[in-house]
Amino acid sequence: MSETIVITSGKGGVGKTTTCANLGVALAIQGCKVVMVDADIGLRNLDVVMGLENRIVYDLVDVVEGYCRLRQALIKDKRVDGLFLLPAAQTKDKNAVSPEQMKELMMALKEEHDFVLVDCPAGIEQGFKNAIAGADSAVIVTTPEVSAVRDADRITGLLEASGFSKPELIINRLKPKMVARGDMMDIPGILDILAIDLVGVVPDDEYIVVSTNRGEPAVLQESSRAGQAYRNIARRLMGEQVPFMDLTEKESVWEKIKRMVKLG
Amino acid sequence: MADKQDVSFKGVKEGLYLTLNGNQDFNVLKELLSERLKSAEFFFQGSDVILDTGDTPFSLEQILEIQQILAYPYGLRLKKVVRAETGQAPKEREPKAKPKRQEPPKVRSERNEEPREPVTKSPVSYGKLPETLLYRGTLRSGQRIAYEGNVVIVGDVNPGAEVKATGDIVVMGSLRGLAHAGASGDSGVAVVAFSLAPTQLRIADVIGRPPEGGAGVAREPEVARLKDGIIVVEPLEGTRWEGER
Repeated sequence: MSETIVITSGKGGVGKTTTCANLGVALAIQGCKVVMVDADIGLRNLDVVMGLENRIVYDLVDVVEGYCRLRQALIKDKRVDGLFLLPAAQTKDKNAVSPEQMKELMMALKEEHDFVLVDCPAGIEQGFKNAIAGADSAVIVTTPEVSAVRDADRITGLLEASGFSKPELIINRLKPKMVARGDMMDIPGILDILAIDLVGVVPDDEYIVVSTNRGEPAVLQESSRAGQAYRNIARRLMGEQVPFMDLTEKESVWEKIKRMVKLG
Repeated sequence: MADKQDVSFKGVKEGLYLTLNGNQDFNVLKELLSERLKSAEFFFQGSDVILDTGDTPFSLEQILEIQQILAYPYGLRLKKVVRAETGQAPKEREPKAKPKRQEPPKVRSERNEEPREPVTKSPVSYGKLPETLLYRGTLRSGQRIAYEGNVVIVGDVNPGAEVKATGDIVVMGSLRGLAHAGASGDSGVAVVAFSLAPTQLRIADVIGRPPEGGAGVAREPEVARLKDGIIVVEPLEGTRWEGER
């Protein structure tokens, strides 16, 4: 029972790559065999976020063009067992591969892994078409901003037109305090517009910036709130029923700690 | 006077047939070419290019400049240079089977490893391409230089950029991207940089990467060479070079 999931958003900068990296690690920690595919050819990032940049020898385009075998291009994660990365090429562009080639690649990857996570580039052009080719299901990442939700809505439409029956939604970088004040779109408001299933809400967490820069996904940090949210989402993807985190209450604890640090 | 006719593109079976009017001022030609490429960037990307210089032979430096304009950032490969007054693309390539060592250095194409040889149609010879390519400027993420011979970069090589050479690589700046010296198997080559902090270093067929959690970068020029199959990095000052290369 393996599954290929494309992580997409339409808008750039909402956290597709971060989501992909964290879900990949979280799933692998749960004992799944996972491969993450960076489909953002020409603007690769997933390898940097994973801290695996300096291990790249072959990339996705090399595999597709037959310069190497698939196995040679897969990079084993340095921290978690059963986690692999197929990096994108940096010196090419999206037109270097076709949807048919991606489909073939996904089939080959699915044979040996429980989860194939595809990190989709921003936009709705060739790169997006490549990324969704061969995927079984889609996870849409959005932030609580009107523009991001607008793009997520467009993507949902495109995915449905391409035969994805039930895309799922991750709301990223939610600031419960701002929502409480009415300054940020709330979860029901977003779901109202998009009308798709919510698979998780990730609170805004400064640690994400730290973890991205260090190449250490936040999931590996026990105390990270975003990491906890990603761990929960991973378990939901595996079919478990996990209650949603109570963001508001925990936020106050977080604030308290912050205040204490500031006072001290 | 700049004229649209001075730079023309034509699609042929082998790729793009680029005709440059050699009677026009070279700097004007370069500008015209850049403009034409910019306006059709995605249409042209990744194609092979056959350059026709018309009646006037171009100098080597000029051909290399054109090659750079085509390659970055448009990813066009200059496949061959012809002088076809008739405007017809030559159908055949000259044989290129020669012993490896004796071969004159040639510009390498981006992906396919076939040497790009200036094939002269009429009795015009461009001679040898220089052994060392000098590149002025910073190589940014996604940019790539591949050259048969040595490469000297006056500038930085940023993470995500690649330099590949069959000979030595010298970076008069910070090397933070990927460098591959001795790409055709020569293990006696070196990579020199004012600041050597690559994401990955390759010499001949050996691949090295900096240690995890790196011990910081030395504040002096360093040289990386192969010793007993391992890439060894040493300060450039006081480095002893074996024999003559």
